[in-house]
Amino acid sequence: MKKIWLLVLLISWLSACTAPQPKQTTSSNDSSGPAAMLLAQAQEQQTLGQQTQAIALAERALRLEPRNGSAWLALAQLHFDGGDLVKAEQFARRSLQFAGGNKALEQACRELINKINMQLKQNS
Amino acid sequence: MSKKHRRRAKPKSFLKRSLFKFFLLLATLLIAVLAAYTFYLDRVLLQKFEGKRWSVPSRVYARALELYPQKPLTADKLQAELDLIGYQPGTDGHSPGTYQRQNDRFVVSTRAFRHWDSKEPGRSIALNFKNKKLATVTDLETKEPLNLIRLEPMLIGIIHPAHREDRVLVRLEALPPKLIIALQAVEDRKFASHHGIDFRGIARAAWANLRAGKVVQGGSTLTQQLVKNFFLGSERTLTRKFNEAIMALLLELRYDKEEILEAYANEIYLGQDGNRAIHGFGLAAQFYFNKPSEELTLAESSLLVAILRGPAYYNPRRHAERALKRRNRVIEILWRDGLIEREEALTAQAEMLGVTPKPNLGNSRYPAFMELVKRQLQQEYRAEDLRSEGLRIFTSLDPLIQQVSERILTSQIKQLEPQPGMLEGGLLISRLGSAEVSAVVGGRDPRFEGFNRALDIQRPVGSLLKPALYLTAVAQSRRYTLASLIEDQPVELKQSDGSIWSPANYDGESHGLVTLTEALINSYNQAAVRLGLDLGIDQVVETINLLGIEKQIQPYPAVTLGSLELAPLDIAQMYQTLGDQGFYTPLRAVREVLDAQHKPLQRFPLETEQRFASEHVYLVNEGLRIALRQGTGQSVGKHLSANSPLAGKTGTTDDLRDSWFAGFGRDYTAVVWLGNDENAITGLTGASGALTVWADIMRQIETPEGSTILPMNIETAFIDTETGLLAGSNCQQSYELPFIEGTAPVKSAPCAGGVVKRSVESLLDKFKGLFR
Repeated sequence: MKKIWLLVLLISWLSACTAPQPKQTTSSNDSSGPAAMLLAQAQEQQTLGQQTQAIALAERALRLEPRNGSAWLALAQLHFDGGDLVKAEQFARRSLQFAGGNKALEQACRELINKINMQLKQNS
Repeated sequence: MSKKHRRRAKPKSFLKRSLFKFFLLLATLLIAVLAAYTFYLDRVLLQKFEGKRWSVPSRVYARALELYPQKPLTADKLQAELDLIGYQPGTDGHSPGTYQRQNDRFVVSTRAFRHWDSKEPGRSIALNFKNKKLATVTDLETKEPLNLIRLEPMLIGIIHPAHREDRVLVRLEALPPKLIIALQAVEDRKFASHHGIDFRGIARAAWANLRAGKVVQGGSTLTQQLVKNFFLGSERTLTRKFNEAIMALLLELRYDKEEILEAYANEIYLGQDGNRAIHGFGLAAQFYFNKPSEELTLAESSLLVAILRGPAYYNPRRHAERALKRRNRVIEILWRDGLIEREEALTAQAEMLGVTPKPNLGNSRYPAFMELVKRQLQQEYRAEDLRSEGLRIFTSLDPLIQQVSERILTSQIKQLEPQPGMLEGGLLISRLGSAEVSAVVGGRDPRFEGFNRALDIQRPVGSLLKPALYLTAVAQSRRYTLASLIEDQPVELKQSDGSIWSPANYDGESHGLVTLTEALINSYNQAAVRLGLDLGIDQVVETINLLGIEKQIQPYPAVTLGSLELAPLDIAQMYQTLGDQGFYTPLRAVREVLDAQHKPLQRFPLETEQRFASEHVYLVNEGLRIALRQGTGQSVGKHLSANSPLAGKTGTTDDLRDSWFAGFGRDYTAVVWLGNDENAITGLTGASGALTVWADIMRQIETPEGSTILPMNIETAFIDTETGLLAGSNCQQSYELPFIEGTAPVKSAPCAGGVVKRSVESLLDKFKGLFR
């Protein structure tokens, strides 16, 4: 669980470092922006077992930066950890939509979607 | 004589004894009745005092403005927000709720506020703006930069109980000590020592009244006043006075002075706002001074104490002089009793009343948005609880966007209407991503609490549904691309009643073979009906439903031309799904509900569902972008910059009755309807009416920079508008169109050196496609 969070933060950091992709805003995945700050708080809340609060914070991050793919992935991960696979998958897909040329983010989304699908299969 | 005397004495003593017994019995009975009655009054008192003392209306808040470096925001917008939340342009910018502006630099003293998730402390901050962005936010105390802060949200409405008593509950600690001192000095000097009734006070008042020949002074203690307001009516009868006295004594026996004072501070009637009664110092501080009670100055506290004697008579907004005179009398009493220094008294007396203009609260400020809030809440809460439980409701209203929308809709309506007063309108704006509603305007008078056209008017939507038709087509990417040719030819269909339906184009012409893009951007009706029939009307209806219009729709061919009657709210949901590239997210106006103790009751979490492949929706959206520039929206769109993401569709109904425009940019979806309430002809098309409103608003609210992220498997090609084939430099008219990878035309148009008559070949391709 922690790993994914590290990944989310790493991705935001990487995407802030890499050259801007064509037709992609540079600010949308910024690691130092307010969304990244709120996502870090969301992670703290999750470690404290405050799942609802963590989700609310991730949603607040998305209000500030609706095209921040990492924030969508973080929300997906939170729902995944909370056991809501259907929501997790939808948010992961949403994140994919904003991945643009960000390969690391794209891969992280696909991995999460695979995990969700595997779990959904197991459940059925 | 003595015998006689003795004889007489006997009955007398008997009578005496009997009388004594009788009176004893009567007294016992009376005491018993009194005791029983006191017991009863005690129960009444306990019941009210121990239970929920007041029903408190729910308070509804707008979104809080979040401030962080690099936020796209202008200095003027910040000032507008500060004015909306009632911050005063102060001289120093250091007392809470004040600000100072010098061009692009602000010093703001924010107020502490308990948001739904955490408490934001009050701070003194400096803000600098540069290039339409917030450049820096600095804490003036620590001199440290701040990464993210929230201002307090604007209070946008109150959901009243039936009797329309309103109050903001305050604890005694939240009231300035001078207010409590003034209250006692003026109303009840012996409050600290009496037991509910002040006999000397009554005597003094009686004497003063006797001398004056009329009632000039009251002898009631604060406890008695509280009892009177709390449990008894205002009639002046002996019984009431008797009850008041007993209950005052009981109240003092049962509760300590602080509790009584706190109840008084929350109960006392202090003014009237239309049919809303202002109770308690907490609300009065907001109502008269637009600040929390903690921040009341000596002069302001004295004014509140002054007016409680007669809130109508001493109404400081109506009878300023009278109120001022009495306020200064209160200050004088404080000084006379040695409670404040002479200097302090003189300074306070020299102050103006400081009453702010009457706040526009209740539901009257944003009635259209409030209606949406209520509808969302009514799915979860009983109306009674909304009115009485003191809930705090946090919504997504953006007052800045609401303000811009109201101003533009109102002024454009006046410019566009053929006769004064005949044109009405409604609009709804929501944010992409979260699908939160930012603004709702229900008519040309945005304060009118009545028919809400944004939510409730049902009108034929014209071509607004066409994107659903073209989405159905391009979702079959092997059969249709934006460059595919379709036929715009007359079509005749037999209807169930036997009559023939033959739709015409707006310009009265048929255009032969046209690309899908040309048909969409010019809104050709005949091409749309033919395409719809080819795809299957039920398929198109399914797309409309999946886009978010949950109405049951009969699959008639006329659906493709928007024969359906819908409200702007429905259309907003549909275009929201388009703007979010195929992700359906239900529109929401409420974010969180907290109870009176700030405990979260309910969140309305973000939910989303991918209903269409993003790349398919992207194709249609590009079509809508071109439609705005080169098609039906060009009157406005041709002035847009090349990389502007704005996209949208006009809707015009028969005989020019309804004028629609729906579309989105990078941040917002907006839908505008203009028309007449009686369905009269307005003479407006979607482009000449609603579009002008839409474009003016979008220009103000959209972030000008940034760009769209392409879905992954999209390629683009320059296409000759006439043949739908690859364009070259010699082609007169072409545009860059997106295609799903591998579906772009490979052959060149004749104008680009292509040798074959492409239109025929393209038709053959399409024919072949049917069998793939």
